[in-house]
Amino acid sequence: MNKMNTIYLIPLFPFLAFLFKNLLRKRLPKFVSSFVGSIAVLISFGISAMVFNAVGSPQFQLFETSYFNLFSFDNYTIDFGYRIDQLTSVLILAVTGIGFLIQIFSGPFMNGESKERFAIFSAFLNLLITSMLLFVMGSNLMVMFFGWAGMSLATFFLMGFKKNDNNTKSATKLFLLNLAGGMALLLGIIWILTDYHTLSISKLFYGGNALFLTLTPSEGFLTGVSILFLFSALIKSAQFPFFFWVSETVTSPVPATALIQSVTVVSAGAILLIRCSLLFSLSPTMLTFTAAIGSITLILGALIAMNQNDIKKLLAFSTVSQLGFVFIGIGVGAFSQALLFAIIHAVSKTLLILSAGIFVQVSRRTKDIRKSGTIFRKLKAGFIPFLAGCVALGCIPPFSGFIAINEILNAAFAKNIFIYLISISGLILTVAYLIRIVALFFKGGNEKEIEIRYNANSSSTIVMTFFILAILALSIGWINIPEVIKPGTNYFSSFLEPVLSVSEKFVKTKSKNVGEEKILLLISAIIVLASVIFSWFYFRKQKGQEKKSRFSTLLNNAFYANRIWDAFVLRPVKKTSQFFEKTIDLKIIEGSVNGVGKAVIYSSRQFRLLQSGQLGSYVLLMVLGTVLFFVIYLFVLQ
Amino acid sequence: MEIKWYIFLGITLFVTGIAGVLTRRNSIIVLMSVELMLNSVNLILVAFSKMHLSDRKNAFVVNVAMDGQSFAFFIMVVGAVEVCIGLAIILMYFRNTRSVDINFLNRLKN
Repeated sequence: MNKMNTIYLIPLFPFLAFLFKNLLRKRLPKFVSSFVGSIAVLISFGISAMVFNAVGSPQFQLFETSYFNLFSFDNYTIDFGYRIDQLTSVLILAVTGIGFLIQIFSGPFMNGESKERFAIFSAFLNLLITSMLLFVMGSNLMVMFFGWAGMSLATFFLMGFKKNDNNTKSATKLFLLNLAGGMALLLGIIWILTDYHTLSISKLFYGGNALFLTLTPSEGFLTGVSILFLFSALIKSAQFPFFFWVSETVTSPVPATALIQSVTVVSAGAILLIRCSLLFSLSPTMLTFTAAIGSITLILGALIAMNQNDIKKLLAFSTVSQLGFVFIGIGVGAFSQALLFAIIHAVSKTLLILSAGIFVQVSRRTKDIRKSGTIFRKLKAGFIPFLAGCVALGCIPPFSGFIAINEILNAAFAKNIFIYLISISGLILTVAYLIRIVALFFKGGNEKEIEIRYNANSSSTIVMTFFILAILALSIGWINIPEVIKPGTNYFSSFLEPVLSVSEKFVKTKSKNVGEEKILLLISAIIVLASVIFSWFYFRKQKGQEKKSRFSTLLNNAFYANRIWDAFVLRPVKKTSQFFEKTIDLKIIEGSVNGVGKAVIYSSRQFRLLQSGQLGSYVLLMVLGTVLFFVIYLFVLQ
Repeated sequence: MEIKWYIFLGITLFVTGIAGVLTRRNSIIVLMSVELMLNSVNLILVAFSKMHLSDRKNAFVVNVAMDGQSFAFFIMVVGAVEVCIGLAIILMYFRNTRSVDINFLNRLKN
């Protein structure tokens, strides 16, 4: 267990890199900040790999540390500590691994920036990684909350990195939204603290004598806390009512978008639900609700992605839609498969966004997939990884996406046939929009006006990143080959079993039926292949100028979600805050403060008139006062 | 004689004094009216003291009654001092302005 003592270094190194680069941002040359950022995450990755190795050994027990005391109340204390279990070890490996690849990618990719700007950018990438590590490693809910809030902050800085009004506005909007989510999470945490007097994850959720099992929570507590947690998870993971924010992260530079949309922010919501899965397993209604939200998001996101031409927005809505799958997986109780799908999605979405970044640079920043496809196709270093990402994400049968999605579909089928059907149609849509991009790339556009300015083939770092990511994206699913194909090869699920078995016990409905699963596997394979072929021919044949129906305009604008959000949420909030500013603050509070001064000045001006210097009036007042005193004394007080 | 007659006399004198202070403009007469008010109070103090001293058995009452008489002495002294200073002020004032009209005194205001 000696290796475990170094786990505090995992979040510490990226954080030190963040501090270092931020403090010395004016001095550091670009390659130094890039190197420092990458190497810090690489060290964390190395330690994570060691930890993972140790966790994998059969004699591994749960490992928890506590370093110092955060708060202490009368009869309970909250420590700052980390927790290593199977779930954590997988997640830290994914976060540091993908984080490292994105860090080294950002060096050559962002070579247009000045060294100070680059240092800041790279520093905030490190901060985002640190926060995510804190979130997944926290031994109690409070530490997790710190990571959660840190991610909001880092996202805010990264989104506002390119300075203009629009970016600042959307970054602020997203930050406020995330604050609302964080507030909900904090309320839920406080609720748990008041009822259970502890925030330790092990005591609350894990083991045979988890507090949620021994002291069965009341119905109201369960519903309240799970609604609060789900609300904040929905915001973080950009699920249905809040899905628009991901499309606004496209304002940040490509590596930041990749990091936000893959392994950190959007996955955090799903990871929160998986961490607290016991809470949700105890209230089946909430699970069904989660699955329903996931289904809505899946379909909506895929429909919107189908009609986008801006590649970064398209990928953003694809993220939204894919996380719908993850939430469906959580909702039907397939926690480990949902997590596997989230990781596969993270890897392949990183690959897609980074290669799309190459596309954006090539296509003179038009981001329009209808143009300059041919040139992108010629850039093998960008195009082949993009294809690999599409294959992994589009669930093409032998590759990783298919393996993970198949398990989720099985669980959905066992749980609820409607959710299964929705997932299947979501899968078809997913394949369709991915094929649409590829088809448009093959069709090309009017590239004559565009010359290649950027030679991505030359940067070996970028090629290497893409290579690693592509291999990972295609093959990572094979760690969990379903039992129907070959028994005993679902390493991932069985690895996570100690963590998730407590909650999965509550949600398992039917016993596994091998024959049925084989049929389902065949069905989904056929559906995916059929939709690949069908949409390939459909989009190849489609005319260059698509006809604009009202529905497609609606989809193109993402159901005007932004505007609806503005009208129904932002404007009332703004009105209220204006009311508070103009009326409550300026008139009542400031008015009362200023009013005291004004009253003194006014009354002194009036009272000064009394001081006339006329002896007679003084005496008269004195006499009147005396008379008044007597009247009060004799008639009123008696 | 009953106490009420003393009180009546005292009130009459006091009100006369007030009326004098309020209505007259001659500062010497105002000063005299102030003296009148002081003396009316003295009269009432001494009258009550005399009334209580008729009940000699209660030591506490006797003490309080003696207080009334000693107050009367103090008031006389204060009155004398006040008249001294007041008259001196009026004298200086008269020397400067050749008048004793009290309403000119409002120059003190500034």
